[in-house]
Amino acid sequence: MFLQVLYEGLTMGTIYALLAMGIALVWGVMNILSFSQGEFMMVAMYITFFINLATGWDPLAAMPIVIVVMFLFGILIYRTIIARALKGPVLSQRLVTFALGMVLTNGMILIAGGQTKSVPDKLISGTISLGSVAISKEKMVLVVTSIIVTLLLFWFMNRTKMGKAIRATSQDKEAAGLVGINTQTAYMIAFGISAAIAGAGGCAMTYSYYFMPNIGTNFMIFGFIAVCLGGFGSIGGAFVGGMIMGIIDLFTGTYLSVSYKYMAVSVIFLLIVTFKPKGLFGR
Amino acid sequence: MRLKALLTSEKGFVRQVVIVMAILALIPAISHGEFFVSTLCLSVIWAIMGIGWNVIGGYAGQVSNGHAMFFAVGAYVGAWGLKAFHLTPWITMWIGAALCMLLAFIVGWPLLRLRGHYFAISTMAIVECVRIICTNWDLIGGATGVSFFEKEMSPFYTLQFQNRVPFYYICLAFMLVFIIASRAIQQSKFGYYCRAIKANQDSAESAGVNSTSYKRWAYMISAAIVGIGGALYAQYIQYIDPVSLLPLSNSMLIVLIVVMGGIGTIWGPVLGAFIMTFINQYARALFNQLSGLNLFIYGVLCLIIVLFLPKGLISIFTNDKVKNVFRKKKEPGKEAE
Amino acid sequence: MKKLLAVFLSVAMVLSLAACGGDSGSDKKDTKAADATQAAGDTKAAEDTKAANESGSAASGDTIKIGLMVSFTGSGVQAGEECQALAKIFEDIINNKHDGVSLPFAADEGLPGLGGAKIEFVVGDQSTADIALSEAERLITEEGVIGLCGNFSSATTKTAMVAAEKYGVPVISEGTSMSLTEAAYTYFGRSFPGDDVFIDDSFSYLDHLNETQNAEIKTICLISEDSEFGTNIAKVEAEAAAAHGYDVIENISYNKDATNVTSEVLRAKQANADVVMMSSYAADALLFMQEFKTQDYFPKMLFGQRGGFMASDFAINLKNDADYVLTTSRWNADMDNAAAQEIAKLFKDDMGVVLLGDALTSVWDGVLLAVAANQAGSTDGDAMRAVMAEGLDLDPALDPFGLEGYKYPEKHGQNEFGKAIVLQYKGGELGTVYPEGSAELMYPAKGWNER
Repeated sequence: MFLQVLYEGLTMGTIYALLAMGIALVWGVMNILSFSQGEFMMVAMYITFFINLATGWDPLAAMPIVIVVMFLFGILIYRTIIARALKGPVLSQRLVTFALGMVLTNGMILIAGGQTKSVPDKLISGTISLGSVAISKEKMVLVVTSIIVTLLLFWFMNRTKMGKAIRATSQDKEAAGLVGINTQTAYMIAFGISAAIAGAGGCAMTYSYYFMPNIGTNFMIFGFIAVCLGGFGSIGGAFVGGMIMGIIDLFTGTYLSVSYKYMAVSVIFLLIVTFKPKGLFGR
Repeated sequence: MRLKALLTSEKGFVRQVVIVMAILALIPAISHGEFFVSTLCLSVIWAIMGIGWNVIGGYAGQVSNGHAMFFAVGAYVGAWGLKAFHLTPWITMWIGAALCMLLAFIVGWPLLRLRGHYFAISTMAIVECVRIICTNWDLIGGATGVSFFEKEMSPFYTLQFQNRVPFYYICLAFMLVFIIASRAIQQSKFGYYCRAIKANQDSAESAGVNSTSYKRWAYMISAAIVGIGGALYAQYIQYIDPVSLLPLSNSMLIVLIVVMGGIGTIWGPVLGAFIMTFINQYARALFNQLSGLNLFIYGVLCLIIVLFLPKGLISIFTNDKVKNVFRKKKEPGKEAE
Repeated sequence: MKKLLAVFLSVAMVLSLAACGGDSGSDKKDTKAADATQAAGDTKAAEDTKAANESGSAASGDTIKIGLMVSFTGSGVQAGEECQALAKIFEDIINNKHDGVSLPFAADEGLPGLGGAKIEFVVGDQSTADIALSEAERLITEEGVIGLCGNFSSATTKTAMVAAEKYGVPVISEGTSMSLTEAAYTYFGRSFPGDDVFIDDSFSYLDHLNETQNAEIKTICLISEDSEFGTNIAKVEAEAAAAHGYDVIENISYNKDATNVTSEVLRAKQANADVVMMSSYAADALLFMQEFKTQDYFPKMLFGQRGGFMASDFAINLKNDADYVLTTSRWNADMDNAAAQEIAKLFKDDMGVVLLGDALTSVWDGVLLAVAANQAGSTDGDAMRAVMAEGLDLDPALDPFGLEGYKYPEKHGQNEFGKAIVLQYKGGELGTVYPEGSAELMYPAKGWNER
């Protein structure tokens, strides 16, 4: 039982982590608290669904396409909305993403209807029994995706020129501009990548979730908390924060009380920020 | 220019109050439609909540995403006072406001030290806790909520009117009081310090402003006003439960109203509340052919207003640049700076 | 000084206007005697509105409007769309002449009792409790509906009732919470049972299985969502279980917007009760089924209480995985009467999905309002309510539900003849297993690997 809960906690943690990394990237680079990250994930799920409907491709096969489409979608959103919002006050930026979330959710209801959808006949399915632990293959897809995305992200941020430019911009916008970095492009790419992360996450989530247009809203606050736990906009921190959230979620839910499991998450978060106001790994 | 002077000068404020109140007071005389009057009531209640939020969010610059908590406390106290003890909301709303202040004091102690997004997210987490507590606390009705439909007592005692027009005027009177209070805060030394903290907390502190204390007071005043808004809302809706009082969307709506109207201004919350409530209520009636269409349009309108009028709708009246844009139909990108 | 004076003047102005606007309430403060007059004044105001509505409806070519409240957003959208489609079908049947169709008013054009008046369903939103209040007010005062029906939950019924009581407009709602019948509303009606009957019937059914099939059911695990809907059901279930002598060994209440239900399922799996009784909405019911499968756990019997288990999303997404799930219901497409077959076919032809009990009940309540208006010969709320209390005069052959009648006593509004049935999924479709119907109960349920 204990091992089972631990495994489930880690899988749930990877979902929170995927969400949190997207939020952390936008937060770290352009200081926007993005309320629409959950909705991006939802959009990715529907793109996966429509690809599957049209071509019969498995979500895994569709994933590269979904990631690219979401990257472009992120850039489109950045060019049309976020770039303009960045000129306004911080609060407006936050509300713009909130309103965007509302538009995406209800737009999706208009396009695809309010029904719950799922992707049928997945390539990988079933359960592996390891003694007392039942490991679901569908959830493994999520875990593996999450790990690959995290590794890729780290590689990108630390090894590529663009990644370094984004990091430089997030540390000091003006200095980055002075050394010849095009900060606007850096912002745009960062936002696109955050949407692409949501794309990978959403695509992998179709393996183990039924989805409807308002699914994104449910995850949002936990994404935020995970980012805060990790500390100010740091991607690694967000990953660890997400994992911690997953573990707390599952352990309090299973061993203490289901009704109060989200309260435990919130209370532990509040305690941590009370005593470490910059999060666990805050700079 | 004259309009701008009118909006900022001392004399101008009195004139504004008279004009706006006269218009608002006369509206029900023009149209008596019940749905219309209900929408007016709702607008005024949200305006009160916007005014409350504006004290901490607008003047002191601490953006709370969790004011639904105070809204709920006010509503619960009003509801239970009437249901269990037959106490009139005229009394219980002040008890509720006091409780809100107490809660704000306790919650504000750790939270107000946080800055920026951290503060916002922490307030969201607190509301989540309050929602879970309210849902599971059977003593206050739990998930079943509180239904308090009083027919025997006088409507002026219970504030539950058959015909909503008197209720509208009562809410309007409260709004007037809070508008004047909001103005008083803005003009006072307290308001000045709050703005200093908003502009730059560190330099305000180094200039000797006790930022913790000022922020805490702003948070408490803000909570009290929202609590009163909640008490009025409870009598408006006559049934409350955690699901309808404490979702994130309620907290966000309060913020949205103020930002739409004009953050940190006196009339912004009022303007925002009226426009948002009317759009919301009538969009539902107009666009009911397709599910989701009403909120889609609502969301698009929010996007447009926040993007193109970052200082809120009120800036149409105060900002000459914006006015020029509207007159000459110039490309509306420049005023954002 | 001038400033003060101006403020004072403006306040005075507002207050005096308030007095004018308040009209009937202006000259009295808060004495008891005054209330009566105030109340009278208000009633008069309400009557004025109603009179205006009636004249309005007469002017628009004798069409009476019935408010249909559905969800425009959130998880109830799909059910709402089905209700709207069904409402269109009923409008057509009632308003036009259909020979050989055994549904109410099919043989006539319009409602004969109201001089052939046509009916129209007007849609309103009830996504949340506060929206339900606004929309009920709008439908009543702006659209002039004669009554409200729809895909109500208990919470949204309560706020809609605030408006309905105020304007004296009858509401027939299938919110199942006990608090609705206990609230002593004047204009409230419920055609089908509340939670108490549904749940008592569920346990009686378990008793019946224990006696006749030697089912050996002893322990129960309750899983319910934590809003008004699930919490009340869980409460009633716990009481009923005690009364029928079953052991509730686990009682889980979860949030319907949960991001995962893994710990809930793990707890249920560990408890390993004979019967898992659930109350859920559509999305979370699916999430649970997914997780049950992932954790390779299925109880001997999974008993849902309508809600998500009766949503069309459930069968469409799960297909054969839905098998063995039981749910209580009010109606099912396999019911053995002509009216039921007729409406089920019309709906299937129109929407392409199987008609489910919850959608039909929501709209059927609106048809019953039309029956009441027709019988009363008036669209006046009080006249309709009086007829509802006397009992509706509806030919049982035209009733898809096959109930003995519809009679809503004034005291609580609960139809005396409402009945519950028990359904089970087989091959992705629902069959009636109790009372002995088209389908045979499959018990105990097979594990996921053996299917």
